[in-house]
Amino acid sequence: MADGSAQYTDGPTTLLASINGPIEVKPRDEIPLEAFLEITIRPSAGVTSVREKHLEALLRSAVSPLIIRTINPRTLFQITLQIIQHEQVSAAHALHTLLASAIVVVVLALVDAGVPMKGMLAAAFVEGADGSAAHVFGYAITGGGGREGGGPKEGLVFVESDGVFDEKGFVEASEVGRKKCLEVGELMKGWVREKIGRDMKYRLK
Amino acid sequence: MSRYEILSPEGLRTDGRRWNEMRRFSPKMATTTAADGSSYIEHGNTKVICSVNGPIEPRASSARNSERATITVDVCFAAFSGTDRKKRGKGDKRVLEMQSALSRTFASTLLTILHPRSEVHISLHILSQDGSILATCVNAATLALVDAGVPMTDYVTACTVASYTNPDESDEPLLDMNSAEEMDLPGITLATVGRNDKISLLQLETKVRLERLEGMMAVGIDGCAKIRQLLDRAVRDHGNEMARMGAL
Amino acid sequence: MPRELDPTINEKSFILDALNQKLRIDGRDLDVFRELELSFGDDYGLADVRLGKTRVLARVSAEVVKPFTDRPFEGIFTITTELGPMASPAFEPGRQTEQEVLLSRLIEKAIRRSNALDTESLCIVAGQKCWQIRADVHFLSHDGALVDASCIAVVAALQHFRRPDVSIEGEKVTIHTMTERVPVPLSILHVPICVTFSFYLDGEVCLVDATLQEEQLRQGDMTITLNKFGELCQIAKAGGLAINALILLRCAKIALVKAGEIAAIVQRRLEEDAAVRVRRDNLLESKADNERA
Repeated sequence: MADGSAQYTDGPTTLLASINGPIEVKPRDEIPLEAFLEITIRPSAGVTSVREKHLEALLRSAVSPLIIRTINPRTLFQITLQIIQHEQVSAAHALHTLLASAIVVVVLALVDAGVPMKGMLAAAFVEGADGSAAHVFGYAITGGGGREGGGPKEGLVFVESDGVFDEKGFVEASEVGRKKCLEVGELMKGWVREKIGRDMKYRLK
Repeated sequence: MSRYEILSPEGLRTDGRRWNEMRRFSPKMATTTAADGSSYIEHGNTKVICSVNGPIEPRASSARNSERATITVDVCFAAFSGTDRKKRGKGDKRVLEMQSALSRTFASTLLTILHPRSEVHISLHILSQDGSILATCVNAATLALVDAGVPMTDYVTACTVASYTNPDESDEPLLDMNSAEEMDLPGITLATVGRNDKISLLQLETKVRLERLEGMMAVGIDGCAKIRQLLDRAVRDHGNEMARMGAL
Repeated sequence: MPRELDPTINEKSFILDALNQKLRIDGRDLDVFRELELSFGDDYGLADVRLGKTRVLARVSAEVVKPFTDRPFEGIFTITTELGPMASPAFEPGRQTEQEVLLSRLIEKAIRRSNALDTESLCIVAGQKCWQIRADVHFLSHDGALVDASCIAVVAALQHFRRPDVSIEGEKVTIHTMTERVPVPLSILHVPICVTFSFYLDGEVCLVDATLQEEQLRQGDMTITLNKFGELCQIAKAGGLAINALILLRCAKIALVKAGEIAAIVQRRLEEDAAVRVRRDNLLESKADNERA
């Protein structure tokens, strides 16, 4: 029933994102020249805790630069992310594995909802060689459609790291992350193409 | 089962009633002048006071509907009304559920279409609890609405029926539960509208065999008809009194 | 806050005219449920119910807590429901609306108060330790019949759930991990199923499993909860259109048939899922059988 939605399963993690918008915004949240972005993350079991709030903040910093918010001023984009299942592969980095999947699923849902965006973002989780560090890399995977300054070209736009690591470790991880992101990016493009193919079946003939 | 018998072998209940007997039901109308309509009902030891204000200008903008009047209900349990002294807050889910059930029951019976953009506010105070609370609230609200002169299609009357299991596994409906019976037996609360016995409210909260429902409903409908007569008499007595006093 | 979109006048008259001729716009008969799809997660206790476009997810989890002092021999069972903006933008997060309170009360009465879950079996050490079983209901998509769908989701998730095994030696309580010992299912006493009826045209037409549009146009509704043994757990007809008693009784009979059908579907899906699990975790399961024998 939402304007756009996407479900994404990555190994033991299944997430469902839904987008509503642009819709009416509460006067309290109204921004005169931009759309307001509301992000809610709901855990599978139990009540929303600091963990979800932290993830909300990280997710916001990842996706809000993507959305062209000035096109719909004084409106609201509602992003709701439901964690369906998330088995903690490595308990220390549970949040980061979740973040990578969350970015992917939210971007897909945003595309489905037809929210004006500068580009798509693919994200991947990389664990440091000794397991002490966790990185999430986000790569822009589509440019601004050729127009000058339309948006980010392909390249690293988002990094979130945690744990102990040195420069060498980070460079190595970022190389792994780039490869992973581009793989995920290709998959995402494929899904979007497939979806458009299905939706526009009657037009493309 | 409990220490005492709900129904003795002679067919008498703990308070001496037979299966189809109601407790003493004494309705009073126009008990306060502060509200547009008011009533006070004693049903056995259950005592409810009700006042109705309306149609008035909606107090909250959410109660404003451009097609019909909105009915808002406040139910308040007095702290001293039960056996334990306890305060039931506004946010209590059971109270909210009662309020919504009452408001929806009367929304379909009042001619709300005659008063668009207005509100009818029903305020119920439970002074003493001894079973059949929701039913008594419905009856008290009906009487107060009649007193307030809010246009309505007919009386809404309610009563409760329990289902008692005899030692030989056969079942027997018991009209009008008191709180002891409410604790031990499954039972329904049922409200009917007017003479044609249509049911507008039906609630069951405990497990009971499906086959027993029919018997309970039949007894309940008779009980509602009886209460309807009693309410009607109260209304007519009140009218006559008013006429005698020269108010009309 | 954005309101739920009301059906237009055209839609309204079209749907009601069709109902007058005993037709529904999705082509179903009046007393037919939409196709029920039920799937389970990789973990135990995750049930995903789809009823047409309505989608509800129930997640059951367990933890060890201290029992309530007034009920030392019983475990704790809670059901939480929250209508978020995912189901519909009309639902604001973090604020309980009247609809939400009614919904949670109804599910509570249908499942918890009817003792579907044997809470006494959750006791580990009386007055000291017990299991708290928590069912979180997530509404993912709202196209009517939220109560019916969430009830199915919760009972399915409860039956699917396995809690870790516990052994007690004197004062010492050991909770075995899932790999150490085969986890145990919950003791479910009966399977309550909710059936919601919607009334139209002064009670002449009554529908089961109404869609959101049909729900918005109905004049009255009633939810009946019962199990396949013919035990009523709960009836809620809170106001709305006044209906003849005979029609209500007929509804109750229809509900009994529907409850049987739905319980059978749930049972079948549970068995299918169990079969898949046995195949996948072949070693583990067969070992358990040998131990028990």
